[in-house]
Amino acid sequence: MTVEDRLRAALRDTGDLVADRPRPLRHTPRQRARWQRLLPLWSALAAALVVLMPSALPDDTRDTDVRAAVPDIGAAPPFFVAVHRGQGAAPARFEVRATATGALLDTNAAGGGEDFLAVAPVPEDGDPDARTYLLLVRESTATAPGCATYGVRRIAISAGGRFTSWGTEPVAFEAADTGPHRLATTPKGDAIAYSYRSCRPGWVTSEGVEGPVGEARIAHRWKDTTTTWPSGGEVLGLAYTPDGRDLAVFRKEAEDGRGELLVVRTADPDDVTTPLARVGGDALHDRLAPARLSQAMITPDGARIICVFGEPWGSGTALSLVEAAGGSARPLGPPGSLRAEGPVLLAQHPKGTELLLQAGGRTIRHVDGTDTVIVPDGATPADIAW
Amino acid sequence: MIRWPAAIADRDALPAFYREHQTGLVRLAVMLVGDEATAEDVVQDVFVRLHRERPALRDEGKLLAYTRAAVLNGCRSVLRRRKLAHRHAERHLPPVWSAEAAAMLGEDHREVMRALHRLPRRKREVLVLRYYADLPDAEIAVVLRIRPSTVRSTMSRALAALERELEATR
Repeated sequence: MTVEDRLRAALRDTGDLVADRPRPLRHTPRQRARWQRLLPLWSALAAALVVLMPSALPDDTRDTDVRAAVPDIGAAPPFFVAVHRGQGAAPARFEVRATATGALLDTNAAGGGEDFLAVAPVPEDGDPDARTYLLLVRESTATAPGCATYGVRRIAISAGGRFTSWGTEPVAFEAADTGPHRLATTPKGDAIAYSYRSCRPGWVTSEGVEGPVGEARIAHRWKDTTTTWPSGGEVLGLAYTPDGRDLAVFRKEAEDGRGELLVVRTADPDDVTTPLARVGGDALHDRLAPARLSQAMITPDGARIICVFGEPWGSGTALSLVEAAGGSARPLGPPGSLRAEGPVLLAQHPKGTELLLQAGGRTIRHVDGTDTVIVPDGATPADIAW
Repeated sequence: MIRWPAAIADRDALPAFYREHQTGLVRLAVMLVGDEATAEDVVQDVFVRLHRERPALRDEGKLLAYTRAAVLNGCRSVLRRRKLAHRHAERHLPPVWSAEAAAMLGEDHREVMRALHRLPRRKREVLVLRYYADLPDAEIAVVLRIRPSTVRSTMSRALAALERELEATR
C-alpha cells in the first residue's frame, strides 16, 4: 500500500468519525444599546444599595425593609419567555420575565422585517448553563401574494435570565401570511411541530400536496422528514407527549367553533383520539363539555390534561382550571376566580405541577392552588413558555 | 458594483448552504484541529461571520472555496492559540489520533494522522485538501491563495516528507 493510499484511508476514517447530523447554527447576540450593555453595572450598583441601605437606616425601619417577602414559585423555573408580535413601527420582541414577580429581566427585538409568532421550551437540551427555547419566526413576506416564509430559531437564556445566543433550526417553510401559528417541540428538541395555513392551492411540496388556500394545517418534523396534514380547525395549542410519538392539538372546530383537544399519532396523522372522552368516561366527558373549553393541554409529563373553561361573566369571561388524570377530574382552585377578555394561553413547568396562564395582558402564576397575577396589565403576548 | 453570490445575497439561502456543507466543513476542520467540538466552533464562527459581513465575492462558484479558506484560517488560529497555552489556557479534547482516543481510530490510521501533524502547516493543508477533499490543484490554489505550480511542488515534497515520517516511526 502506497503512502498515498494510507493517507487517503486514514483521512477518510477520521472524517467518518464526524457524524452527518444537523448542527443548529448559532448566532452571536445582537448589538445592544449602550444602556443595556451597562445594565450589569447598574444591576450590581442597585444590588449593593439594597444590601447596604438598611445599615444606613434608623433601627426601627431596618428589618421591615430587609425582609422583603419572597414569593413561593414551587419547583417552577425562575423565569419565562413571552413572545410579542410586531405592531406598526414597534418590532417584534421576546421578553424574559421573572416567575416570582413578573419583572422584566431581558428583551430582544426581531431583525428588520421579521416577526416572532410562538415559543416552545427545550428543557432537556443538555446545556447546564442555559435554558433553550425555539422561536417560530416569520422571516419575509415577499414570496407570493398572501404568502410568507417562516423559520425556527433557537435561543439560549442564561441561568440569570439573560439572552445569550441565537441559532437556526433546519426548518423553513412557506405559508399564508396570517396566523395564528403555534409551535411545539419535544423535551430534547428533536421533533418540531407547527401549525400554519396554506397559501397556494394544490401546491406540491416535498411533504405532499397542500390543500386549498387558507386551509389550517399542522406539520411534524422529525429526522429531516416533515409530515403535514389538515388540522380541521384553527389550532390554538400544540404539545408533544414526552416520547414525541403523539401530538396534542387544541383546536377550534371550523364548523361550530367548539374547542376540542385531540391527540394525533405523529407516525400516522389519521390516527386521532379525543382524550377528554377517554379519560373519565361519559360523565366526565359531559362535565368537560368542549363547548366551554378555552384552552387545554397535555401536561409535559404526558400523564394529565389541564383544561381552562370559560363562562360569560360581566363583560368578560370567568375561567376555571380543571385537571383530568386517571379517570377523574379535579378543580385547580376556586371556579371563576380568574377573568379573561381574550384568548387564553397555558404553560406548565416540565417537571412540576405549576402553571402559567396568559389571559389577555395578564400573566397569572398558579402554584399550589393559588393564583397570583404577576403581570397585571402588560401587552398581550402571542405565546409564552416556561 | 459588487455582486454578492446568491447564497450570501439572499440570507434566506444561507441556512440551506450551511446545511449542505456543514458536515463536510466540520470534517475538514477535524483533520486539522483534531476534535469535533473545536471543529464545530470553527465552522460556526465562519458562518456567523458570513451572515453578518457578507464578503465581497464576485464569483458565485468561489463561495465554497472562500468558506473552506475561512475554515482553514479558523483552524490556524486555533492551533496558534494552543501553542500559546500560557496566555490562552483553553481546554480542548485530545485529537482523535491521540493515544487517549485509541478506540476511535485504528492504529495504522492514527500513525498516519500523527505523522501528518508533524509536517509543516502548508504541507499538511495541501495533503488534506487533495487526499480528503479531493480538490484539484487549481481549487487548492484558490483556497490556500497560492499558485497552482506551488501546490504541485508542495504536494510532492509533502508526500515525501510524510513517507519519511512514517518510516521513522517504524
